[in-house]
Amino acid sequence: MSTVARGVKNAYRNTVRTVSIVLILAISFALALVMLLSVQAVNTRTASVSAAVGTTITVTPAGSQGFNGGGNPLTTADITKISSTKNVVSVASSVSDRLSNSSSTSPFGGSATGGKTNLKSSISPGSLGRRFGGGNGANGGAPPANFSLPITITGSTQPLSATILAAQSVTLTSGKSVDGSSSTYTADIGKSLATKNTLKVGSTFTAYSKTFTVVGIFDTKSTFSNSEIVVPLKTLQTLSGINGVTTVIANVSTINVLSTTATSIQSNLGTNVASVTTGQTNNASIISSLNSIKTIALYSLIGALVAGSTILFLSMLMIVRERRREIGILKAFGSSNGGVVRLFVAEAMTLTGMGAAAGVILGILLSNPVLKVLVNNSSTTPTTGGFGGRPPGGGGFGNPVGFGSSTLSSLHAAVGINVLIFGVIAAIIIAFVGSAIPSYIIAKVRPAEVLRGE
Amino acid sequence: MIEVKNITKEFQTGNSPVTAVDDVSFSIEDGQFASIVGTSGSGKSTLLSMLGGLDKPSSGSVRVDDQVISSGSDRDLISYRRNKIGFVFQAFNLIPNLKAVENVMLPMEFAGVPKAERRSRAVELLDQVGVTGEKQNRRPSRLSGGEQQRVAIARALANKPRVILADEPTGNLDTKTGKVIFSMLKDLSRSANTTVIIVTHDMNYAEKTDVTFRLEDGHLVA
Ligand SMILES: Nc1ncnc2c1ncn2[C@@H]1O[C@H](COP(=O)(O)OP(=O)(O)OP(=O)(O)O)[C@@H](O)[C@H]1O
Ligand SMILES: [Mg+2]
Repeated sequence: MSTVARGVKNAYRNTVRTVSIVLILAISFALALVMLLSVQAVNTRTASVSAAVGTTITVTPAGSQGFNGGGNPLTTADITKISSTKNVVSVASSVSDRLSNSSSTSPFGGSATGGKTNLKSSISPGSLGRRFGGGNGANGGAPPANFSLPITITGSTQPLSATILAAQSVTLTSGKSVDGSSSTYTADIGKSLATKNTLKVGSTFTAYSKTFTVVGIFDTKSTFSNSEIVVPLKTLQTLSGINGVTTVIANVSTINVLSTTATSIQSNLGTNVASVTTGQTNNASIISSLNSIKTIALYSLIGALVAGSTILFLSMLMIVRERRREIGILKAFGSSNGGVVRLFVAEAMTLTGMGAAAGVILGILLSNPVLKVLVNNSSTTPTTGGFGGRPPGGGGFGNPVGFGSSTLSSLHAAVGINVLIFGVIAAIIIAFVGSAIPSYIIAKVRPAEVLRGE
Repeated sequence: MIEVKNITKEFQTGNSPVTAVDDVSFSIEDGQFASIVGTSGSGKSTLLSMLGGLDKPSSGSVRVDDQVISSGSDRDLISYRRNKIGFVFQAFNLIPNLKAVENVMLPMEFAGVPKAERRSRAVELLDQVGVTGEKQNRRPSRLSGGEQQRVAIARALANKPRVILADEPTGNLDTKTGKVIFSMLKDLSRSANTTVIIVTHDMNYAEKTDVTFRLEDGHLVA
């Protein structure tokens, strides 16, 4: 029998004690594992909430909403006020107009701006569209066969900004973005509009009686913005005659300063000039409550590890002291000090190994129910300690990343590697220290003294 | 040949030092069967510990063959105990979770004897001391006191030591069993030229040894 084999055998010497140590170790391991999983779940959640809220502030003329209502466009002075507000990192401005089809018989809303284009909208009017567009009769009467919905044209300093296009994301499928600071007759065209009118990069079309060249085609995954035209800001301001901008997007550095910055902008501009909106600011309170859960989970994790280590350390200390006399016998028959240390380290490693294995199994069994409780609570109601009230129904938390079971299962995979390694290394170090140091101290004592007994 | 010269052992207890062994000198020839007698607390165990390299004297020297063990390093003492000494204790001191045969194999493991050889020699030694058959695979708790002491003697012989040191080997046994163990140790010194030193209270045993040393308050008396 080798020293290691005897050490492993010693681990089973006292069944009750072995079972107790392994059980306690397993519980603290499992707890640590679950808490680590929770921290990771909360991190993922926080990231998704932050992404949903974004760090942008939208400023529009007071009294306007899209193409409904009135109000005056925002002026250059207004933009300067916005960009000089504290925490504002960058601003993008845009103006939007609507173009009607030059051959369409029944232009929408009487075509107040008078903009016309030779393009046809890619959005099919349907009976509702005809009803609104036709403008006569309760059931829409008989709309003209060649009727086309108006096309939105946006002039922007940041042409392909997702916020300006009201989209989750914007990708160029071909060509390039127009230069937002220029005043050329160039345009980026939404994918659907391009398909409907068989436009490619390099094609031309007419708007406001000018010939525009298509320089890029973009995809936003949204039916509406994929049917839009984007041109440089100055180009559209000149052609449409709108003096100013209809939307200013201000970016702030972090989500934490979002609502205070929005308030400052609003008070700088005045409520009669502009209306200021942000992503769902209520979600900021969810973030703070998520952070509180994370803190609790982190402390529990540390607590579980400390408890487990303490138990392991004290148990090994007790075991070594109890076998004091046996260490004397081994030394009397020629065991080296190193041999004594190896014997106890092997025993400690055996106990730790069993505890870790049982802990991982227990942790995996426990993690799903615990995570379910934690994640559901944090997403529906701020139950944990009453952090940050959140109005009911807060639609902004639209689960954009889909924090569903798939995310949870991918979390498992991540935990499988780094967390386990971390926990096992920690336990090994603790077991080593707890067994090696006391056994070495006793091995160094003169055997006569040790054999003399307690 | 064991030569003890003026060894003294003092223990520091509280404020006053205790002199357990006081200026003791003697020598024992190879293959002799020696006994140490004396009242309780006279320093017998302390003296034996110093002979076995379990402890170092405060002053004086212990020479075994050509080795001065009283001034050896920790490492020297470990190899001295492993190769030259076999201990037999009053309380048997077998490792409780190892079988009899594994207990006998233990010193050979420390000496680096190959595994197969360890087992066959252990079985042979146990047969020799009369622990035979299935008893060799029992744990100490399932053996009688006499049987345990036989196993302990087999263990002491494992590495073919030059010297066997036995501290009251019959102390925990009844008279009849004690006699068997005693004669076993005596035979060892006769047959294998092993020096055997035995500590005992019993003058009947002491009378049957080649040489007897009597301790009184740490002093050797004639
Ligand atoms: N580690 C120690 N610290 C202090 N005093 C000690 C120590 N070891 C032994 N002594 C003392 O030394 C003296 C001799 O002890 P020792 O054990 O050698 O006696 P002994 O002759 O073997 O007695 P017994 O027959 O009862 O076994 C005793 O007075 C004892 O109290
Ligand atoms: Mg004694």
